[in-house]
Amino acid sequence: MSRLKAYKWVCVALLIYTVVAGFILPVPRLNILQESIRNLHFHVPMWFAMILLLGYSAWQSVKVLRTDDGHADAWAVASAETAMVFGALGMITGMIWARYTWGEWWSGDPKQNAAAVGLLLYAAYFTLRGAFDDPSRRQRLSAIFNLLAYPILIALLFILPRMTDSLHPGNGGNPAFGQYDLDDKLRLVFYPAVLAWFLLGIWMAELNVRLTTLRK
Amino acid sequence: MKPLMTQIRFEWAQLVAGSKLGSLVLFSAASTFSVYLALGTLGRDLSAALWSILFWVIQIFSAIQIAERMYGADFQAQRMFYYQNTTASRALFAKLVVQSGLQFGLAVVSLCLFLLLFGTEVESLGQLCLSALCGSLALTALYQVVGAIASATSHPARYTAVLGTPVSIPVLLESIRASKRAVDGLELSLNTFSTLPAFALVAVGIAVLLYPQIWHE
Repeated sequence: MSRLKAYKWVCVALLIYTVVAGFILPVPRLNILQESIRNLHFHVPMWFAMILLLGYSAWQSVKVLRTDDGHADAWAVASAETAMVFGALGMITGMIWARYTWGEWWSGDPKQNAAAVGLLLYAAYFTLRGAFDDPSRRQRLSAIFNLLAYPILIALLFILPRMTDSLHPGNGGNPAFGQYDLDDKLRLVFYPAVLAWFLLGIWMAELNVRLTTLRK
Repeated sequence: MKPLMTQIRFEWAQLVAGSKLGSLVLFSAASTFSVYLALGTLGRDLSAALWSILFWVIQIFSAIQIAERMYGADFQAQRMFYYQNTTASRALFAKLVVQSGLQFGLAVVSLCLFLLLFGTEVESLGQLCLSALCGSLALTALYQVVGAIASATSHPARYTAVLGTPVSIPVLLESIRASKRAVDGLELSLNTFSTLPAFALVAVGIAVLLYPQIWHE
């Protein structure tokens, strides 16, 4: 029985706090959103965790290119895979939220579309990994593609949606939540939630890496 | 400077060899004409929005075609030559010059055909050419990385299309927006026309950083 690393305790504690406080603490009364604002602690951190995990994956890919380290490659894939799980969950939680606030499962919102393209982009990354038999070639070339994909994902999620009208806060004239509608009560849960989900992602990726290592 | 010119001439020779150039021009013209005929079945009523979309979708297909030809069987046969005679950055630069020129040329062919066949009134031709140029440069830079990665797989043509399509979506969207504005004749300002050139610069930057890494393979 190995001892759990400290960050895992932090992760468990924060997740329990997120779920309990996220459902119990008072939230501001907003038109249309009503109680569904609580989804802020679940939907938004999914994307934050995805972006952070993909950033971590890109960093591991830089390491692969520098040192040809197979362990870094395992981490790059594992964190990208975990990020995709978070992306899919972000999309599902977003669609449910959109159904009750915007009226449609899919409103063709620029950020919704961009997120879907982002998932396609990383699907291409996993497809590419299947194209090589030689592991050293696979890890280098897929690392290069990973580093190509990350800035494009950032452009898709943070630059393009701001150019057009969007239903999401912070785009096309809608205020970002930092300015107006994210009040201190929400912040008290939201920031710990982001950290909690990200740590959970790292935990999942670590298990994935260990499994890959054992299979070898 | 001289080795660079030699390399550019070499790339140009590669392009002309085996009727690659002719087939690309034919592809671009034929796709534009197909679009014209296809729309003819619906009455040829083409708005500027639809026009820009179709134009840029053809450009994406052209970019895939160029990458397939320039990183196909010939490139694989010449890999040793490249490795011994030139550096990664010089090869990339020569490829960027020749291929973005080619991509822009194909865009002009397609553009002329669109204007001729549909008789669209373009308010600002200069702005349209500028957006075509920036878009071509951005696409070419992205497809250098994609094409070079794909050439290392067992099916270069397949992977060029699979990897290239999602990668080129931001550039596609921004190019469509820029050329739509040119057709409508909206005023050119730094605010409205800075994203596409910025994308082109970032794409070239990414290619410059990543290309030498592929080179070592």
